[in-house]
Amino acid sequence: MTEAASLIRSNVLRGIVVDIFRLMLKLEVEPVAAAPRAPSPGTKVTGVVSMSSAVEDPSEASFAVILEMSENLAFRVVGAMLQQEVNSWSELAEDACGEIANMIAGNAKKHLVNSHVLSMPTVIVGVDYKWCLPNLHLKQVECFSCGGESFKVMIGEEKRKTA
Amino acid sequence: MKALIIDDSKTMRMILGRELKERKCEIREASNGKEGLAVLGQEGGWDFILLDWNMPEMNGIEFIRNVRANPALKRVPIIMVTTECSEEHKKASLEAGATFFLSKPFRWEDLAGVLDEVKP
Repeated sequence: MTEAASLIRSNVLRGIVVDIFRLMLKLEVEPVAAAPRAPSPGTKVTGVVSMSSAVEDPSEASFAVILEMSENLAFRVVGAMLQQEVNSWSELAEDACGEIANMIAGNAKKHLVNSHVLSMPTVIVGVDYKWCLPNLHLKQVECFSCGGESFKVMIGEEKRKTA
Repeated sequence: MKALIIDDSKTMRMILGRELKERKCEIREASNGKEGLAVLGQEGGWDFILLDWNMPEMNGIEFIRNVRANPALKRVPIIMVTTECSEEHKKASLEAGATFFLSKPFRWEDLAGVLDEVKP
């Protein structure tokens, strides 16, 4: 993904993610050029937060922030946030993943359309699934490494409708 | 000290609660502004409120306006802890009647500093 195609300057989005992990989770993450390899086939976790205009306005673009990581890494991240060992899914673990996606989206929003409203986070946990958000075009993908495992933060844009 | 934590995320209530318990605070929790108002109405002796912005049912700004309109509660310090991080949001929050504004992610020392300031 080229810098020109990005919705937010790459270093800004990377800084947001690094700060959230360092300050709220006490985990060091490092931006990497791209995911070193295709994600392993196990269970995957996806957190989605969308942002759209509070008033229905067809000329306003909407956006979504998507956080995607392996189940193993999600357990480690959620465990760090909750300060307890996590090795299975629960409502609380999903809530923690959603909150991380929410923090990334909230901080990213300032650089997109600040007046937009954030949705409640949606968290998907499953094996071998593909998510699809209608009309959403993926515009930016940033990859990170945390303790040797990679994860992705993506930003998509829902195109403005033309008259 | 007695505090109310209002956040729709159970995780945030838990990690904020952990910090407050270390400071020997007595804690109550609510998952949105409407529930928060109900909790405030059931008891007294509140020292401060930690409040999220984006919540279902009643958001943080509406909650603040309700609290500030209540003579019994209008002086209770409200600390907005939110993922909304722009200057506009900070301004709107303080204008509505929040006492402090902390955007996520925050340094725990920053929260500690704010808590020191609301100590009775």
